[in-house]
Amino acid sequence: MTKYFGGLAALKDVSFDVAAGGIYGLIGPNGAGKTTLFGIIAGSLAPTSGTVSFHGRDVTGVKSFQAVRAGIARTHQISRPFKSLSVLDNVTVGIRFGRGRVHGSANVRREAERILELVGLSHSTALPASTLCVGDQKRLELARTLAAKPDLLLCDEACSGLTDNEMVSVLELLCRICRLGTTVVFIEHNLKAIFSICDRVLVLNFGEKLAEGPPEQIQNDPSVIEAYIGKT
Amino acid sequence: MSSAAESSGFARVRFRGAAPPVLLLSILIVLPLFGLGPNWTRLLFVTFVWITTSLAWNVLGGFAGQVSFGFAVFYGLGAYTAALSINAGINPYLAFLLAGITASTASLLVGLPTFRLRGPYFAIATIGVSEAVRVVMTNLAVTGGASGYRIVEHGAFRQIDHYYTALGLAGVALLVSLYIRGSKFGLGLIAIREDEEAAADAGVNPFTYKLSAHAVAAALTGIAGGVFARYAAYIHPHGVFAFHTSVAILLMPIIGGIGTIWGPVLGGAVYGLVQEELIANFPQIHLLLYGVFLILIILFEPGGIVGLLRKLFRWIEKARRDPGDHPTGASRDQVLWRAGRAQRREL
Repeated sequence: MTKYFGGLAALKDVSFDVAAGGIYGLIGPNGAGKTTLFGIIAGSLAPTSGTVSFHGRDVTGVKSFQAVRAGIARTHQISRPFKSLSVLDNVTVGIRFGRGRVHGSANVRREAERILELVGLSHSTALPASTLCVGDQKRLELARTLAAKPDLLLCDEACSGLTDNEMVSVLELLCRICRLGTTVVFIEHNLKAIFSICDRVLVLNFGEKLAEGPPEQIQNDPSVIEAYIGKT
Repeated sequence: MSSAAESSGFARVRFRGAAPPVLLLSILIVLPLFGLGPNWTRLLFVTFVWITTSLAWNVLGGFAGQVSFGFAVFYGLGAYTAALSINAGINPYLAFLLAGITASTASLLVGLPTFRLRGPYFAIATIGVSEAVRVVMTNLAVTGGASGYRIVEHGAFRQIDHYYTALGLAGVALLVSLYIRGSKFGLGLIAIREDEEAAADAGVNPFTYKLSAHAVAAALTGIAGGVFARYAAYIHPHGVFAFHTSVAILLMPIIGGIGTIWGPVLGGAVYGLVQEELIANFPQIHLLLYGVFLILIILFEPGGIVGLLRKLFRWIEKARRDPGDHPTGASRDQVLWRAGRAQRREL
């Protein structure tokens, strides 16, 4: 797929497949087109050319709420909670508008509490989302996205701005989400994080696919090293 | 197990919360039986109409966060639709329904091109549409143009019928607001208000939700316009379609407390009651007063009257609880402050 912003090619002929059931890492220097790629898959941007197919269905250029119904949900790099709503209500939005098919307010509430427990936010369900710290806002964003019951979770820098301890717990969470049957694609700058949990990694550089493969192979790929560190 | 206890507790809270409005409604229902007098009946009638439009605007502006400067379009279209229908011999209540349908249809025409855009485009477009409609109506020969349009109804004029119609309509608007706030629809609207893109990422379709909220709000406003037109028996474009009508409809919920249920009711009541008195006594000063009011609200209490009351209640609650905690009578803040100072001295 290709995406132009005016004359600038944000993505040039990037093509890849994600197998169901794994954790897929997406790395690349700033401006490589990672978030643009997410935007195209999750429906907030339409590609200039190329297609996105999901479960064998063409989902190119659908709106983001349609993508959610198809089973693709994303989190944002900078979390975007519904600030005046409580933590619980934030997740309720995800449940009621997602694919969960949970009926009855008692069931919705129970499901919301279950998801908040999964991400480790059960201690602050009644607080307005605006009062959470950055780390908890990221968890909330993840919780709201998970509440839609996606098959494919696109996670944009879930770990940026977190302490090492917080990062480890988010990574554990992603692994658990994956074990529960959701395919995870995630963008991260911290290579240690990527290489420790991903099954496959895609490297982007200036909008082009630089390399793709299992972490061991990527770590030793000379072109990747060159893009990140420079020529020797 | 605990859900049964919770739900009964919830029901109790709801019951207690419902007591004051039910009491108020009962008073308003029986009040005319004790001889309210034509002036008070008229004043309350107008207030009910304003409360309805205020609640209606709040569905779109308060819940969905889409600020419209053009609700006079729906108010005026409703007024004219009802006027034309009544003059054509249609039952007045059916005419009100037609007024609502016309206004709703107009809201779709405004919303379809503008709700696809994000940001201030909708608000700006509503000003343009509102002025355009006013100019057209000023020059439309069928409805008498600028000189206005008269409604001729056969049968005796019974002010009390109008009173109950307007009261009923305000009640319906309140129930609609309550229902929407508790529903999935309302949750989606609030999500859109908070962050439209994030709402879409959570599966809300912002376009159809905004369009639906606009249609509901327009229908209620149109019916209110129709009810007013039938009472006034004479309407003209510089009244019902005027820009200051749009501004009034927008000011009321903001003064009362935007996005709440009781804010628009309070705002409408304040506007209806105070405004009528002000216009009668000081024809020029009321706009100045509302301007000042608006600036004060934006600067000091964006929550409006409801926000102010909430703060007041919290303050009273705190004042009542704290003396027990601290025999010296010091508030919690004072205790904390003293503790902090002691700590600083130690350092």
